[in-house]
Amino acid sequence: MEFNWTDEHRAFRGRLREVLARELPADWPRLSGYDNGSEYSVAFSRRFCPVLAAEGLLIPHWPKADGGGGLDAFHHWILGEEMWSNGEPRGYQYMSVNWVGPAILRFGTEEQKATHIPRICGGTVSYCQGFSEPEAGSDLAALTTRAIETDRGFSISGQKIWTSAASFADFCILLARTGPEAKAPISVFIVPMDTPGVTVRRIPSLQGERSLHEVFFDEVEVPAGAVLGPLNDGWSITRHVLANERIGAPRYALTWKGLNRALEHMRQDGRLKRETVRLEAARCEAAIRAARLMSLQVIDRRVKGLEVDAGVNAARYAMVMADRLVAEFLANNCSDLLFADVDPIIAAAFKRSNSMGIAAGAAEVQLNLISQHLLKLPRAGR
Amino acid sequence: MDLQPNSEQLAVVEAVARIVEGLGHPRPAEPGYVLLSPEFAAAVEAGGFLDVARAEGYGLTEALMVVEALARSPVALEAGTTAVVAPGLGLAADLPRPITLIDSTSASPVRHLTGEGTAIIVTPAEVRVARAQDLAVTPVSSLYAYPLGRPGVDLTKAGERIGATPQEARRLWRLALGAEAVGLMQAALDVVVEHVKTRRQFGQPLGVFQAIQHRLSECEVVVRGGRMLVLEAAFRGTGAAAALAALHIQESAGRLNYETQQFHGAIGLTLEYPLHYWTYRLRLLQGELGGPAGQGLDGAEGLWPAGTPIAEDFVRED
Repeated sequence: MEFNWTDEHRAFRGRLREVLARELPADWPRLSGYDNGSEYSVAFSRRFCPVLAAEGLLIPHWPKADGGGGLDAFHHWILGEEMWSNGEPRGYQYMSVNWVGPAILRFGTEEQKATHIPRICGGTVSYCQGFSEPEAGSDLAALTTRAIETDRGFSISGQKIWTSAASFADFCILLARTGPEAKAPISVFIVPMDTPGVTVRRIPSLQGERSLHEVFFDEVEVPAGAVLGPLNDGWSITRHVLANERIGAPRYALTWKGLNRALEHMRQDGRLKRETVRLEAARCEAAIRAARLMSLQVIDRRVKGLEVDAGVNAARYAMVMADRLVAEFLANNCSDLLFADVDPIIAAAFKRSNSMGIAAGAAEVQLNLISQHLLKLPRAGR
Repeated sequence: MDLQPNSEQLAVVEAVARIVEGLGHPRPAEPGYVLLSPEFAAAVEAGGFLDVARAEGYGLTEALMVVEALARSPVALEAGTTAVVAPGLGLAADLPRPITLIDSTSASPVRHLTGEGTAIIVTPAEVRVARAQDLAVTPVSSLYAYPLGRPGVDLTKAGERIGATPQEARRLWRLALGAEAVGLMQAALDVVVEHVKTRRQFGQPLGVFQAIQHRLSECEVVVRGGRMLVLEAAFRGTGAAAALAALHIQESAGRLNYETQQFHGAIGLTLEYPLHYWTYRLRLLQGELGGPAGQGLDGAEGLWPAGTPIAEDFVRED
């Protein structure tokens, strides 16, 4: 086993840091507030992603034939660590390269690829994820948004909720039932957000300015070419997307940075001398390292072409555990540092811990999947 | 970066697993607190598994994998000190076995200290090696599933001083302790998972209940994390990494002990059921070397020494 990065990986991280140092304004943490949905952050990401693309740093892990750099998946992870620890200056475009692009490359038509892939590669397009509904959260199979086939394609009606970035995304990757029956099969649609009949309402939240929305679809007309992948086979695509999404973002990177900054504050004011503080901090450090190693092991399986098993769910749950520990540490020991005007990075790390167990699939769903696929425990009624 | 065991490592682990499986779940004639097996010990010795760290092309990582695999057996066989600590400290391969580790500052009885073999004594200032027969050992009987003994001499003067530092001895001790505890946790988890698949209550297997599924899944997560932390710490060679690994594992041990016991119900409290062979060893390891506080404070000292600014960059070692 080898726990060191190769020279190539180190050089790649070095290049990323050079570009970040050059492109991010000196007061980036305060300007952006590490809020991906703020007016400032969204405008910045629209300038920044094309720069990354021009540097060959936006999709280093995609095959060269698809416009990427042909580098291994560790490059993608290093990219994620560097971006996430800086509050994700790509904004919600990280979703484009993490799962939207790969899903279109795998399941899309030639026309869809021609429309979307060059824009994703250029860093000029962003998506939102139309999965959750008011009555279909963790139980995604309860969704009721419906796409009825018409002469011109499909007419979509229904409501999505908790949709990040919906008020400024270009497209929505939408799940809908294709057919009139209650349990009609599910298909995936790529819907331009400026299509007539799409209405977006912001939901004020603790997580940031435009992190949560409701999206209403009122007889939204889309062509047949808006279906991604085979009609009525939306679950296969969804599973593919979720597998990529669950540890798509190294969220621990910001948590770790926030912890280190808090520890430095506490070193300077003497609090870090207390044994209880040192012990709690060591506990956080160990949990973050465990989560990172488990994540890297998943990426290593991707690199080697091995099946990605439910270790991905275990890694994600380990991230949730680590985030909880750090949030408790910060709240217990240095609540004075949690105000954004003291240190926006510590404040952001603390704030993000609220959504850690919810975003990208509830932590309890990860436990269900670990139970089924790693422990092989029986399911109720089977 | 290569985070999968290679084929040779897998072969070693599988060979140990075959010996463990060959043993089955022996039911001793008289239920007891400790399970010993000369046949098992002889099979492990004959395979040379405790000397894997000294073999050409192998090292500390393989030794830790062997220790974890052996700990999955219900038999209390000394492996961590013999396979990991002794070779790591550069001790000769022909020292009489079992080799045991003694913390001179601890009042706790010592695992595998029976008056035979060799003792490595870690004092605050030095590391000493003594013949166990010279330590006036008194056997200690307890619920813990290890043979235990208490030395009756002044440990700071027993045996001979060796060149290794106490810090290095504690680093290796933590790695060995971590690997053994991960093996014990995995074995206890495997047993309880099998139990909740087959034990039926309310007309269905216990394992269908989400309260049980989630808690056992959390156990799976912490065991996986602990295993990776031990292997990485062995690779890094730093005292802080070993201390953090042992911290994470000792803190997980309490969870594993509680959950595996709880979901067995009363059968898990009996001596005829083998669960205690793993959980009661785990309970002892949970408090070794000062317990989580001992590991955490040492780890903190390595990570955040007084007077040194803490960098925000998390990529410090790799």
